[in-house]
Amino acid sequence: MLDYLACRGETVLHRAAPWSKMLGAALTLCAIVLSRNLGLVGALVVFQVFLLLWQRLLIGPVLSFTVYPLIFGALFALSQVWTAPELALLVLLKSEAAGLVLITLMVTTPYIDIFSTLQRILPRVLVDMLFMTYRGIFILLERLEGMLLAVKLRKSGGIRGTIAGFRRTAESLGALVIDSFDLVERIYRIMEIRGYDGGIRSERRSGGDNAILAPENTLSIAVGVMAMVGLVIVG
Amino acid sequence: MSHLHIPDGVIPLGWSLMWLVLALIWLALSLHVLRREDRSRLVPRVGIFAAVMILGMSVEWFGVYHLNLTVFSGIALGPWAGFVAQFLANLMLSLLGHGGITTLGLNSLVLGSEVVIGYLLFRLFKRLWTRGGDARAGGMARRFAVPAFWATLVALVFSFTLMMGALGISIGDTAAVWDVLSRHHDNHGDESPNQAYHETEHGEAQHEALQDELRVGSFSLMNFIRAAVVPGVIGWPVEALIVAALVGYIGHVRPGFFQRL
Repeated sequence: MLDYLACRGETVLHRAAPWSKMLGAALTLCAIVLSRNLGLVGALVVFQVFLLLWQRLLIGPVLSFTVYPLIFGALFALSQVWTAPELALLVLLKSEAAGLVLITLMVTTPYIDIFSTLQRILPRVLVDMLFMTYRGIFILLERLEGMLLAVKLRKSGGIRGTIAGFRRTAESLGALVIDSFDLVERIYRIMEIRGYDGGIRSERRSGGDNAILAPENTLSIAVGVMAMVGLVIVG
Repeated sequence: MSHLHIPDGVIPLGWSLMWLVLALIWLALSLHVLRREDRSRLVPRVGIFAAVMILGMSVEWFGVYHLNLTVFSGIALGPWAGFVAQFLANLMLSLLGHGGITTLGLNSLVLGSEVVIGYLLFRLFKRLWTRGGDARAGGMARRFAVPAFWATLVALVFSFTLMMGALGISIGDTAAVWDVLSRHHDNHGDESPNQAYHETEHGEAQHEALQDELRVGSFSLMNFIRAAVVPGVIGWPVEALIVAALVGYIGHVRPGFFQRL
């Protein structure tokens, strides 16, 4: 779903060049991490939610992804809530704000475009592995879902049933691992035949004008700059 | 709860960058060691295994609990390729808000330690377990499952301790002490934070006020350890059992898979 939204979306943010969105996200993340001001971090959370709602992106699975950062931040926040409630709230808001920035980036930019941009700074072999991971998720996801559905259908009640289900789930995962190593062998042969020379070429799939002053790019960068200005003013 | 992905905003940016640099050094070292391997085989092996790790996380055990196969990746891929695979999985997940992007370095170091410790302990325990001969070791599945259980359990406890240590360094009272002392320094003009500290140390009332401020405004590591250790104690054996069942199954279906270890 995330990938579908990233590839098929037609919002203003989808039209922006990936580098401008990544720069904007990096600036906003810096402001979030450095800030100790509840108001600023809270305002950034509200702004990101507004942005997702405005672009009609806060739907289905995207909603569940926005909950992840809250879950991870909750343990840190709960452990501090009795001694430092403000700190607990700040930790929770920071986690959520940063999570929302990244989710906004991911639902408006295809993975391929992010990898293409990363290709400039990361070693080639690492980016090739990232491409492979991305493809692997889609290939193996279908198999895993089928196996887990079979386990669910055979599920029975009671302690013995739970233990049996537990074991079957582990075995499904084992079957997935074996499948994945067979897949690796097949991909290896394909890469050998196609003459892999240590670099998978990739081209940008989305994004409009690359110029820094293109309106879409300006919007992405402006968000980050505003967050940084907020940091300088209120801390 | 054996794997605590630290979200963004918990540790200061300076510390995040320092952990990231250390993780990148480890990553560069891993890629350097792996440079002689055939790339056509290495790229899909590591890339696809990172995908398996990500998918493994989507499988729910007892509600919300999930595992991430870091110890298994060490056993299956070895310490170097295993580290690269967990780094890729961490990077992809952090882009989805599953653990922070600014804490990628610390998360990778902690999970990377599970890869290496798991690999070394699995080898050691397998050797010890099979020392008495095939009869004692049991069937093919048991021969791999029992060492995998203990290797996973110890690796998880180690990584938890490592994470608490790293958190203690990054966000323990040291950061807050510096913050409070810096503000104190601002109030006292030319005094350095250290001087301010020593002077207030002798003034009892000021000292108590300073302590109160530190208590209220700083991250309490002990509180966090208390909150995290209970789910951890439940999670470690659960994850060790799952990895043991997984390794046992693969050992049974493909006995040759672990023979090279």
